Amino acid sequence: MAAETTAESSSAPAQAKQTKQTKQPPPQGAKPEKGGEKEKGKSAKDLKKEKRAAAVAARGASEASTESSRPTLPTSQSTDSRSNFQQHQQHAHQAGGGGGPSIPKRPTHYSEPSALSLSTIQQNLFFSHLPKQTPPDTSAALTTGKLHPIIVRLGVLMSSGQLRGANARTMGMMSAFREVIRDYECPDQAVLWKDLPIYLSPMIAWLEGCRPKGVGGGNAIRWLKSEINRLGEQGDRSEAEQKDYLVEAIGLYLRDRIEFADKVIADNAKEKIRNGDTVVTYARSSVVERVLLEAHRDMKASDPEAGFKVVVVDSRPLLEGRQSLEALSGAGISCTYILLPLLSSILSQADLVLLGGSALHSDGALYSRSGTAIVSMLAKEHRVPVVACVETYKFGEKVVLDGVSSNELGSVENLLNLPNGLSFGDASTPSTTRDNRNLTPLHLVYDVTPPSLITAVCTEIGFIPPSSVPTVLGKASSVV
Amino acid sequence: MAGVTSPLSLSPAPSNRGNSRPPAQTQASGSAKGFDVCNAYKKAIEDDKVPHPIAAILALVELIEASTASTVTGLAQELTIGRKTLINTQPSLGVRAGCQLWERFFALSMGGEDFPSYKRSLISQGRSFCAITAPQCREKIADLAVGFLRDDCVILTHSYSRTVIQTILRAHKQHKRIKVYVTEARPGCLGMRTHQILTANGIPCTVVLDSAVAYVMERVDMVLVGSEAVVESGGLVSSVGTYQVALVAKAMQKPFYALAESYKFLRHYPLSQTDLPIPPPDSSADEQQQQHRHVYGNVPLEFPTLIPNSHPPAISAHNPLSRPSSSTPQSRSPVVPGTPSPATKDRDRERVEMTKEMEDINPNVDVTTPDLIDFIITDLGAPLSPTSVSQYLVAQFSS
Repeated sequence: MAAETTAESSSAPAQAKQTKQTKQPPPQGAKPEKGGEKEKGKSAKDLKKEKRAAAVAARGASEASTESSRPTLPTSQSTDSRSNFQQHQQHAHQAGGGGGPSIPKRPTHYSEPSALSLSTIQQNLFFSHLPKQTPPDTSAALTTGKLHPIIVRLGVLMSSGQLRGANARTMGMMSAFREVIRDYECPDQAVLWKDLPIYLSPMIAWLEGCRPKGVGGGNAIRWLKSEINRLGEQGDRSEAEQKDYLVEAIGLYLRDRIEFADKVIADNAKEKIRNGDTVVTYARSSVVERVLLEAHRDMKASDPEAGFKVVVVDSRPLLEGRQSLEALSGAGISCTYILLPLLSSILSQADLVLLGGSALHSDGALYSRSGTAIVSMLAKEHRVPVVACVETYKFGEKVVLDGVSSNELGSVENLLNLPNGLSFGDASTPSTTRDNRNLTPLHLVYDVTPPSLITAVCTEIGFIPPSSVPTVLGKASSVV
Repeated sequence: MAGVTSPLSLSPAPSNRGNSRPPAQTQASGSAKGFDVCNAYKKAIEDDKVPHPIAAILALVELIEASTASTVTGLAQELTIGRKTLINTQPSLGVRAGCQLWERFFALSMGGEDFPSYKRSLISQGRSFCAITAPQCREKIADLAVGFLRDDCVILTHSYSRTVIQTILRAHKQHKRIKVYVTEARPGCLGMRTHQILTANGIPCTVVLDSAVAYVMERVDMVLVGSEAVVESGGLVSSVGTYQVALVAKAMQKPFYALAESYKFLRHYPLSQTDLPIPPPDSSADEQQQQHRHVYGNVPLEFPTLIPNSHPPAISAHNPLSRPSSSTPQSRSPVVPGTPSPATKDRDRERVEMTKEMEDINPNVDVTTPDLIDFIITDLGAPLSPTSVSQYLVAQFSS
């Protein structure tokens, strides 16, 4: 039932897409919006356009040329023979490049290198269980009619890596669901609190397919479902009221658990940064960035002479630290930029290591960007205190013993191809890497830092040792 | 002269590193007319049996009694000001712990009754806590800790702790043969007081130099120390020297037990020895101390910013690599306050001692890291491992 209501609404943009196919892709650097705030008031067509842009951008400039072959894809199908089209798509997917020109298919070398390397990883015993990250099939997703366009757009942004960072992704996801709930209309015979989770679940599944939502996102979704369930207990409210309640609740959740939490964390953590200190940070974390910026602002306000230094440690292939570096040095903080191999030489002069994280497991292990464990290990060796800044909504009840059992496989595109043209084998013939069956380029996105390497965790409830995570979790579950 | 110094002493001390909070807001400014929390605190602490946190709570209870506020909010505001005054003026971390506890109690007991009866119940509960519960804490700890003391064991304790003494006396009463090494704990030399009390009670006690702790450790069965505060990491803030005693004990694999009442638990997470919220020493200090702090900064044991120029020519004469010392002005070399006058000819006759100023720049407390502590014995029941301190604090204070 619910599916049909959205199928109606998505047929219009589907037509719009046909006319749009030949358009030039917008520049790759199109900046992604953090949350779904901006989408308010935009028509479905606009959303669609943005989504297309994002998808194209994700594919990269090299593949932009193949766009010209794509227009045949939707035009050969009429809008009402949707299921037929889907079958074709699946068929084409399985058959690979073998189909004739009339059969709609993905461009032949669409992310081919990564797909191949991924397949070798999949064969590898250790990593075969990890979710494969393939670019999402947006057209199929839209034609099912079960997905709100904003969710599709979000999925593309997440999977392409334009929306990165646990906080940004969770905020994006929750604001997207807020929009979905606003647009949602409960069917006549159904009850909202029973129907809404069913309506949402394919979207959640689709987002999970684009990129695993992580502990923080999982907690947020679990909270949302419990809020919807609670509507059932309350009863006696009109649909509009219930929707308003949910929309408001999501807003409060984002405000309290992420925005205010970050503010309090910044207030707490900046106390630990003192005049003349050298602070080491790894890759990029929105919270750590905020802590450093606020600490700098406060220090300058109390004494213009005062200041501290920041060492941004970064590593390939994501090089996220550059963004951090830009923000920090832009604010007037004196920064040093190094790559991970140099860390041990720098640490003897460091006073504090500040880390962000994607999750904190109940044994106190920090799940964060791969490389974090090395940073903390070296810091411990040099007896530099390691402070992880993590909001409590990222606390997970699982215990993860290593970085292999649950992780994500990142794109290996840039792993072998260096930006300066020095590539593995011969740069001009990328096929060498592609055909090399003995080569497994591996990029795991996260790693696990054991609690023994973390001095303190800075949360919105104050500084706690990693061993206190279960206590906080226990309290949180008794409150919710 | 006095007219010149008084404005100086009120101006905030130059903040180099560390605690840059303005010291000592003008004495008890906003609190109930004329009532001085600091005086109340000082009066309470004069009693030898009253520890810092309890004295702080007593002072705050007295503040409530003296308060003329007619609403809960008004009272809360006065209390907040009182608390801040206490925290910012008194050097003991126990004060902060007591204030935190009282704040928590105040917040939890709020609401319900009408204001006068609420105020009365606050006062009576505060008084009964200080008069009855607090001394009971020490009793409970002694009861628990005495089980750890075997017959015929040798204990090393540091400085002076009422709880430790009470525990040892309790064991003595149970006819356990106990021998005690106690450190001298310079410069306060409170170890001597421990020695006095124990010897008076017939317990064999020997005073050990602070520098002889490692020497004596092999003869020791266990280390028992008291504390000023227990911090959230599970570490111990205690009179200076405890950390090195703990390090030696760890190196020699001797059990290290800390005794702490639960009202000494403090919501603070120190990352280093200097990361403690101790306010700079009394801002109404004399001019000499002000100047002295100007030289050394607020953090204990900082190097002086002005280096005393001792004998550079002597070095340069022997060192061919050194540049001609024209840039080092010897004539107007500033004399750093507190430098002892160099001993003259008969050096072996005249002992050069630390001056008062040198002692002053030394820390009063240090942080013993949780990895060195076996158990913290508290009044909360079974001895806590350092990690459970934080669990207790999180459960108590965050909601």
